Parts: sequence; structure tokens; C-alpha cells
Amino acid sequence: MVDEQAMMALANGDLDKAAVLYERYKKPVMGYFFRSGLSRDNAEDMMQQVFYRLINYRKSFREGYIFKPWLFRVARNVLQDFLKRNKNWKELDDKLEVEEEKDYNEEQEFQLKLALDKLPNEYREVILLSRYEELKYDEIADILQISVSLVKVRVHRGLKILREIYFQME
Amino acid sequence: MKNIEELFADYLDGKVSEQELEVFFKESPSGKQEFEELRQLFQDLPDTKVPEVSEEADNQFYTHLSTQKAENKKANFRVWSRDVFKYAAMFLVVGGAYYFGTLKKETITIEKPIYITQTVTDTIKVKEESATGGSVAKNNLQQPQVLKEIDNIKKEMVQINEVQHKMIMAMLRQESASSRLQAINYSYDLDVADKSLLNALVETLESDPSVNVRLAALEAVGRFELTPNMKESMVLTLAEQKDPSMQMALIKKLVELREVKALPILAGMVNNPTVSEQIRSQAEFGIKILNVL
Repeated sequence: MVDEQAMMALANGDLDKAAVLYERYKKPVMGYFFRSGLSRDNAEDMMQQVFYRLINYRKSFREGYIFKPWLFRVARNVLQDFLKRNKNWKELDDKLEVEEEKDYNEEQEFQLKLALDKLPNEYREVILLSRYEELKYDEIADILQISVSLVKVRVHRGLKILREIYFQME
Repeated sequence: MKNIEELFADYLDGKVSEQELEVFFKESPSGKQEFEELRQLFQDLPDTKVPEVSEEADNQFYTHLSTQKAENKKANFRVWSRDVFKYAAMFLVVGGAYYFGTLKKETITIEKPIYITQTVTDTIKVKEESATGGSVAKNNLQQPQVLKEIDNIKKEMVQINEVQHKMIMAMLRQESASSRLQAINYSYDLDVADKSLLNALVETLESDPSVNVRLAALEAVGRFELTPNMKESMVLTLAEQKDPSMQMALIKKLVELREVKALPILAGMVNNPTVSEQIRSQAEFGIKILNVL
């Protein structure tokens, strides 16, 4: 059963399908939060929030929607709410502990990750969604509610800024 | 012709071939170096290892889902019962109209309409007339028939309740965990559970192989009035459970039930270093609450 069929069944009252979608997407959604810089615990909490919203707002999913970008739009809203509630969240998280939990193969990768964390959010989110979630530009545009051409501009400019930050760190 | 930003983004999206790139940079070679650097940077972005989702998070999700299913079922039942009551009320109105219509007709025949509305008088008259063998007594003979119908409906409801009990107990014995979860969800349709069903639910929360089913059974059992033996079984279950989410849920439930017999087990947990810190602190909190009660 494809994602859209499972989600439509869920929207029509078959709640067991929420478990199917949870098993398929719990890790990608947690990855989205973790890569956005949240600690493991916060990323897991946010991931749960996404699936609770998926159940609560299941009826807003309509015929013709594509599930993955819809789910990531929910995830982005959860992240935005978290950022609004915790304006100083970067200070709240124990950065050292967070970094130790993550596994980097090379020093260069670690530096790139730090550079990515410093990238302004509007650029970072398009790069994360494109590079790690493998979403297409029109899907990213749908999630962020911006035009496709603006997504393309942000990918390019985001990488240029990232390169500058990275070189400064070196 | 595309600008460099669009070309780069489309390239990453797999929409530009190497040949097209060559043509582009032949015409505008200035941006080639930057393009290569950005392409390399995009490829070098680290594949951060995402941690596994914990079993606790999974359990919380499935417990939430199970609660949502129970609430959904309850809401559906409310809609269903509202419809049933609506039709039953319509039936009663139509039946009542017919009944009183017949009564009126017969009353007209006997030319004593006052008997319909004035109940006290009616009763007195009935007594009087039945004593004298009058015709009003015949109309009142129809009332036991309505009462009989109500009795029949009550009996049918009892039978439906019995069937629900049997169905839930049979489903609790199924091999599939989802069937057992469904059985537990069905128990939310019952306002009162009989002793055998309660025992089955308590047994499920004690020893079901799936922690999700055990958690759901615990939640469901808490809705009903439990016997002291059942509460004691739950205390013993707490002593045996190893799953932290189950331990946590049991402690909360036993404190909610004000089960002071749980105190020694809770004290044992507080002093047991193999028990997780979170559980120990919950047990400690439970002891404080139970000592106050």
C-alpha cells in the first residue's frame, strides 16, 4: 500500500494505518529534527509530536495530496513552534553532549556540520530537505510555501554562504 | 538560457546532463570553478548518523494510538446510539399516538373521554368500573403489553452485553497482538465489566507478551471498579515487570487507585540500583503520595 493510500485510509477512520506510516517515516522525521540541530531527546519528542498531529489532523489530508511533502510540512510547523517556544534553544541544549552523540568519520565532516549549523535557517532548511530528505524542489516549495525558483536560488546561495563559513572556520 | 543559480540547482536535481554543462561553460566559462566547488561541497556534506528511535518512544506512540482508537470507537458508538435513540423515540411517538388514538376511539364509543387525561380520576373510575364490570378496564389491559415490550428490550440489551463480553474475551486469546489490542479497545464500549472480563484484562496486563497490549490493558482496567484481589494482582505485577514504560504506568495507576499494598514494592524499587533512575524517582514520589493518603 503506497503512502497516499494509507493516509487516505487513516483520514477515513482506519487508525491502524497510522502505525504503518509511523514505521515508515519515524526515522526520516527524527533525522530531519536531529540534522536541524536538535539534541537526540528533543528530536525524538518533536518526531512524536509530528505523528500525534498526523493522527489529530488526519482529516485535512485530501485526495491528490502527496504524503511525504505533506508530512514534512507538518514536521516543519512542529519545528517552527519549538523554535518560537524556545528562543534560546541552542544555549539550552548541551552542545558538547549533542556533538558526542553524533558520529563523524572525518574532521572535515565535523567542521562542515558545524558550518551547516551556523547557516541561516532559510538556507539550511532547503539544503537539508534537498540533500537528506531527497525531496524535489517543487515539493520543498510546497513545504515552505515559496516558489520553486526561490528554492533553487536558496540552494545555490546557501551553498555559497556555507562555503564561506567553512573557509572562515578553517 | 539558464542562469548559474538555476543551472546549479537543476544539476543537483538530476535535470542537467554533463553535456549541457559543457555547452554552458563554453559560453560562460567564468562561473565554472565556483560551480565545481559548490558541487563538491554539496557532495561532501556529512551523512550524519541519525540515532535509532527508542523503544520508549515507540511504546508511547502505540499507547497514544490505542487511546485514540478507543476514543474514536466511543464517538462512533455515541453517534450510533444517538441514531438508535432517535428511531426509538420516533417509534414511541408513533406507537404512542396510535395507542392513544385507539384509546380515544374506544373511549368515544363508551362516551367517556375524560378518562384519557385525568389519570387519578381514571384510576378511580377503572376501579369503580372494573368492580361493576365496565368497559374502561379493557383499555388499561393494553398497558402491560407496552411494559412487556420494554422488558423484552431490556433482556435484549443484556444479551448484547453478554455477547460483547464473550467477544472481547475470545479476542483477548487471539495470537495477533493487534487483535488483542482491538479487544481492549472494544472494552471501552462497556460501562460495566463483569468479573470474568475484568480478570481477563488483569491477566492480560500481567502477562501478555506484547508491552503495548499490557499498557493498553492497564489503561482499560483503570476505568472499572476493581476488587481488592485484582488490585493485589496489579501490585504483584509491578514486582515482576521489567519493562520501564510498564513499570511507570503501573506505579501511576496504583497510586491513582490509592493501593497502599504497593508501598513495600515501591520501597524495594527505590533501593534497587538496577531499576532506572526515572522509575526510582517515580516510585519515591508514589510512596510520598500513598503515605499522605
